[in-house]
Amino acid sequence: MEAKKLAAPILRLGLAAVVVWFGASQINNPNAWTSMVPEWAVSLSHLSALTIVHLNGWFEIIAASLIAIGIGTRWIALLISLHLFVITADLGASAIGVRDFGLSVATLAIALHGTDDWCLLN
Amino acid sequence: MNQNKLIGIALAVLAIGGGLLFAESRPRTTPNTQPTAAATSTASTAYTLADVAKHKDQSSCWTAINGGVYDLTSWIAKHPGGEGTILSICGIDGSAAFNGQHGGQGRPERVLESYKIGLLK
Repeated sequence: MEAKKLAAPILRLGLAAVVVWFGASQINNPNAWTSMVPEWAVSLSHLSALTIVHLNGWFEIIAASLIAIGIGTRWIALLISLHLFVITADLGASAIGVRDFGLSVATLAIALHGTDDWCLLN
Repeated sequence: MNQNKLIGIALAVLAIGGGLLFAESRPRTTPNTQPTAAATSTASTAYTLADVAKHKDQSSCWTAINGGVYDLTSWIAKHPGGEGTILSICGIDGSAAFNGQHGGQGRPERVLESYKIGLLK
């Protein structure tokens, strides 16, 4: 396979693994993440920070798994990208915020590219 | 199903599995990280700077900030600005460093509050 054709699936699979990691980390140890939940999310949703962490964790695992398999790639990647942009905006220009900005843009690139040859549905 | 899709599914399983396998899990309590009786006291417990000074490294990191005493041991690895910044205030009054970097910022102050173990006397 040409190197150029490998770029999209490598990006898609790598990012999916990262997002699955974050989702699973939140499920495994939610108390370690509650301090990262912004107050506006708690007041808007009327849910506790712990519940939000659980829901966010499962959302990230499921969405990233679908991206990894290649189902609904474009739209789910766009959703994850927007999700990460919101997180980035909340974190600001810190070390983690800047890294999350990179992840947001990379996921947006997946959404713009759409499916590749290795997606289950393309 | 063509070969590309089979390869894609196999790699997807690896990516998902890798993310799940290496995800952070609930930290195990070890003799070094097990909360001491003092660390599990309520925030009304008072400590001196001499008490704080006994917890001055990565295995047990306490600091005093703005009249409160905080156990930052588990925060060292999570600090967005790196471990060194937190390690530099272990065992001392870190008010100046904290206020200089985070003064007036809501989120750092909320995060800090979650690590409070007492007051400075």
